[in-house]
Amino acid sequence: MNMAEIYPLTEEQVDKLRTIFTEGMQHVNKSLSEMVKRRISLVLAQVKLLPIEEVPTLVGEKKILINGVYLHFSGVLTGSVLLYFPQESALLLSDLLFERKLGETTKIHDLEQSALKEVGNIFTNAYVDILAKIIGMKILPSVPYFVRDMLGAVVEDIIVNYAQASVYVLLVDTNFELPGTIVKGHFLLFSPPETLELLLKRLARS
Amino acid sequence: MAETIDVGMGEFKVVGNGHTLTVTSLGSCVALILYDPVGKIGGLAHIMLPENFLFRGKESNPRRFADTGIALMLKEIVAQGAEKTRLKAYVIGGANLFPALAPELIADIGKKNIEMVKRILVGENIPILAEDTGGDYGRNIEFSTTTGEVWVRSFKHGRKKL
Repeated sequence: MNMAEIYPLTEEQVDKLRTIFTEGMQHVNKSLSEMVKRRISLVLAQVKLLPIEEVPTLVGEKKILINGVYLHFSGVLTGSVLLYFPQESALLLSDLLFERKLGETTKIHDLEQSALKEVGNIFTNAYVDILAKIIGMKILPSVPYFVRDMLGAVVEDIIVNYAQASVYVLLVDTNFELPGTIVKGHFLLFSPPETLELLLKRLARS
Repeated sequence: MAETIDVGMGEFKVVGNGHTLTVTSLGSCVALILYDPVGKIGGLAHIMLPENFLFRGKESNPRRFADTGIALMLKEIVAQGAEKTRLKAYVIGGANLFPALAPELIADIGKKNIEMVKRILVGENIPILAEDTGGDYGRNIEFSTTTGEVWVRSFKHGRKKL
């Protein structure tokens, strides 16, 4: 399949992708709300195939300092994921994860990083499980990696790997919020066109 | 009218006197600045990868790559009136925000970008006035064609002039 032929994605293709990622979100919702003992809100903000150069501007404020958890997955389908929170959100989320008084966490140390990595694992495993189910083969997530820096630079480093061989990359952006708090984050999933092609072929059959 | 223009991934911009070119949140990409201090014409290329060797299609963006991108920017900067023999370069970026993952990733792209950009500059006889490269952190850049000054800022190391 020539990638130029599937760019841009049709509404029907986007809908099919939204359905599968929404299913992934439901699993995340269950695990995470148990962890933070609160209702969580997950919204699929974007599902898009776009030129790699356009990604940093699309994901949001490039300059903001984020606390991020990066993982990648490999197998028949490949991709990268980034779960990220601005500093204030990361601190408050840590309060909730460790059942501390709100406002108690003032720095993200190793302990808080581990908890955020665990949240990253939950998201990644949920989404990867859905993809593995569709493709009928194992997909292996990597160990999580913590990073703190400007959002644009982190995203740049993740997607530039795909730019060697592809014009485009699939972006799935999930908003993560804890209603009633300032906690706001994003879970980004990136996949190269070959993975998207396989996914769409499988979805077309079902 | 004085303009501030942000140069995104896989782009370059060439401007005359009185403007500022910026890069926001530079990671493993390399920002190459070329400046003619007499003509006060400057260019900034935001380079993603060292060379184009996997693309066969016409749809690829030549400005992604150091080899094809720098050639295009050189052509443009000369076309806008710069003297090639007067050009000076600043090389910034090429970081690796995931140093512990380096063995797993295809390559340390940041390092390869820096090497390729420098190799091209040597080939074109363009001297490097200053560089701020490598490391494991993101950078913001400001370059003024009026003063020729290049400022680099990062969360880890604050703000400094090159």
